[in-house]
Amino acid sequence: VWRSIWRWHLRRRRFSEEWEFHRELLSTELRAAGLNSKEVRQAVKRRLGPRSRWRRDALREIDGSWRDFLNALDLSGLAASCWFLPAMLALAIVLLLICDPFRARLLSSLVTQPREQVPLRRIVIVPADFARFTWSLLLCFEFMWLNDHRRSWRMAAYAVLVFVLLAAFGVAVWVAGIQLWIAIAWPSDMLQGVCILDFLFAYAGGCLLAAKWWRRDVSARCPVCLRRARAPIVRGSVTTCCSTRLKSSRYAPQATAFSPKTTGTGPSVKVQSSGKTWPPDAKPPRAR
Amino acid sequence: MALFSSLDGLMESISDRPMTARDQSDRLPPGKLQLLVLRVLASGAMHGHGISRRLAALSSDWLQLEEGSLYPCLYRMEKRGWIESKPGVSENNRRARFYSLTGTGRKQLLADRESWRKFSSVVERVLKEA
Repeated sequence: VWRSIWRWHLRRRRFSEEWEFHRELLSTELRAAGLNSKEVRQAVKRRLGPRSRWRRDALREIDGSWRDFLNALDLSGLAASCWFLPAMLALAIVLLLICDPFRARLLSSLVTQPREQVPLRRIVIVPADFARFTWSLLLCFEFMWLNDHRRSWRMAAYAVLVFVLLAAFGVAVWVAGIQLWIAIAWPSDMLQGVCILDFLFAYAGGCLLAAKWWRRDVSARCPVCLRRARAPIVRGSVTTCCSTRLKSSRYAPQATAFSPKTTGTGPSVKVQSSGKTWPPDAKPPRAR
Repeated sequence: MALFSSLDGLMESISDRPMTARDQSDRLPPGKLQLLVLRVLASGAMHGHGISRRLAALSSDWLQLEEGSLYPCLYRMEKRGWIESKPGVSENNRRARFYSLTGTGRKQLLADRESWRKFSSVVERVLKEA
């Protein structure tokens, strides 16, 4: 990725260098012809034309535009990395803390005051640690699932790390939402109650979706290298992209019976015990 | 009246001055700048400024391009493999990028030249006989 970004930078610099070279030679010629510096400047501008336009056209031709920068970043490759998701979640938490004007209160409710409650006038009491409760419940279920589907200690460590960060982010979002809810001057109690109930149900749904997404992410990762496999090989119940290393691993699959259910994000190749491949036209994976 | 006289003056100045990029963009058929650049580069490797000087000299300053437009054109041709560029040192000891024609570029030059000859002869015939 760094090499691609460096090449992109060189391509951008190339146009600037050539333009400067051309401009300097032109200026020298015009100065030699007897024009003063103001006239030289005007003449150079007229003869070269609008720099921004020609630069934009030129960069498009040599893959030096910002769109090409995004291509150079190889975002799909970055997203497949096992560091990407934890880094993004940590960044989101930090951003939330930075943006929240009551960050001290947010931190204290996250860490030291788990029992703080927000009174909802005349309707119901909504605990501020509702998020903690929800995430704790999900944590129990997801750890049981992880225990059943654990493929390597690396995978387990990764899954726990991501879930803990996800839960921390979720709790921070809840507390920030409650802070916002308190700060707003509501015109009526009814509206206030309806809004908090809406937020509560939306939050609960969001937590379930996040947990589902976490499961899918963990399932789609290779247990050996932890990267999200672009062309995963499904061996029995195991999805991997490192076929050779998996054979020597103690987590190598026991059963290789064909299962039509696929996991992973990319096109998959299923290896059956008979050595045939699925889909039928797919080539069997080559050992690295 | 003052407005009309100033407009007349403006029209006169436009008709007297050499053709600018905006004028020639309406008249130079698309893709013909590439043909001209290929032809110029057929005589040897040159940097961007040299190419524009050579074009101006060959056209007796009638064809005055906005010289900045040369670079997108050069990059496009390089992408297509018609020309190649190498870093070098210019006559005033400055680092510059020199463009030269490739084998594909020579073939393209011949093809474009032929196509231009046919086009201009057809236009000429129509103008004579119409």
